[in-house]
Amino acid sequence: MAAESFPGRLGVGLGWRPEIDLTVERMPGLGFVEVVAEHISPLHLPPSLVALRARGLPVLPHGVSLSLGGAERPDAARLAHLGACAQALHAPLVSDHAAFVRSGDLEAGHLLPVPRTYDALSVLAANVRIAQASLPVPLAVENVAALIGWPEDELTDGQFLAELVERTGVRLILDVANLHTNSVNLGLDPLRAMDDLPLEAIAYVHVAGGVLRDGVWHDTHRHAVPTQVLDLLRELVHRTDPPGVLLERDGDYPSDAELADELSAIRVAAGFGAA
Amino acid sequence: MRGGDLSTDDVVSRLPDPTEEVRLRLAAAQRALLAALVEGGPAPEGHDAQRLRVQAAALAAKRALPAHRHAPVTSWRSGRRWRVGR
Repeated sequence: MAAESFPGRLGVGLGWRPEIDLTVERMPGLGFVEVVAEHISPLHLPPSLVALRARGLPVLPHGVSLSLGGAERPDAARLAHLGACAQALHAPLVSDHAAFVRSGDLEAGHLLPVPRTYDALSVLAANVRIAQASLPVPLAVENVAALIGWPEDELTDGQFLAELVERTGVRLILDVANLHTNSVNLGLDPLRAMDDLPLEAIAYVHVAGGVLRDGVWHDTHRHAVPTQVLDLLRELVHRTDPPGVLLERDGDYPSDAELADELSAIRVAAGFGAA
Repeated sequence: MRGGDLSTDDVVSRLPDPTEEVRLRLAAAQRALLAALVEGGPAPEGHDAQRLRVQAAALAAKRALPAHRHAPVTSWRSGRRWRVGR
C-alpha cells in the first residue's frame, strides 16, 4: 500500500484519456501517465488504468476543479475525492492548478487565472494549506494558460508561484506550453518566469499543443506541440533536471505513430535520450 | 524564526491567513469577471472587453470538448453540491 518514493525519475508521460486508453496502454517507452481525477471514480477504476498500475506505471491524479485560487475555501468532498483517487492508484502525488473555476454558484467550466496580487496570493496559499492538510500525499500546483490578465496584477507569474512555494512548500507542475501561451497573450517573459521560479520544486513538466488565432494563442491540447514549446522545454532542461515531462492531448487525436513521434521529440528535448 | 510554535515548520514561511475581508474582496472581483464571461455581464473596470469576448468564446469551446461529457459540471450555474462517484 505504500506509495512509491517521490520524486523519482518519471521520464516521458502521456495524459490518459478514455478516448485513447488503448493507445496509452500500447505506447512504448512511457514512464508515467496522468488521469483527470474528476473523470474517474476511485471505487470503479477504468480497467485500462488498473492494467497500467499492474505494470508498475505511476498513474498520477490531476484535478481540475478544486479552484485553489478561488475566494472560497476548497470543498471537502472534492478534496476527499482527489485523495481517494491517490489512494486507489497508490499515487505518490496529486495536483491541481493555481486557478479559479467558480465563484459561488457560477462555474467557468475551465481554469481561469487569479489576480497576481499579494491578496490573491494569501488566499491561494491558505487554500493550498487546507488542501495539503486534507490530502494523503503531497500536492503539486500547475501554472495556467491565460487569455486574460487582471488590471491589478502586481507580480509576474514566476514571482507569484515562487511566493506560493515559499509559503506552502507545495510542489509545482510547470507547464511550459502555458508559459508560451502567457508570453504571446500577456507579454509575460517565459525565461524570466524560469529565472523567478524555484525549479527544484518541479515535480514534472507539462507540454501541449495549441494554435495562434488573430494574434491570440489558444492552448487547445488538440494540435501538435509547436517548436517554441519544445524550445522552452530545452531551455528548462538546460537550467534544471525535471523528473518527468508529460504530453497533454485532449482531442483531434493523431495516429498512434504520430503520437509516438511527438513523444520521441519530447524525450530528446528533455534530454532523456531516445527510447 | 522565533517562538516555539513556529519550530514545527522550518521550511515554510508562516504568514497569517487572509482575513475574511480579503476573501470577500477577491470573491467580488472573481464573481464580476465570471459574470462577464458566462452570463454576458459588463466588463469589469480595467478589463479589455475584446479580450474578455475571446476568453468567453474559448470557455464555450472548451466545454464542447468530448472530455467534458464526463465532467461533473453540466451548466454554467450549478447551484448544487458536487457529488463524488457516479
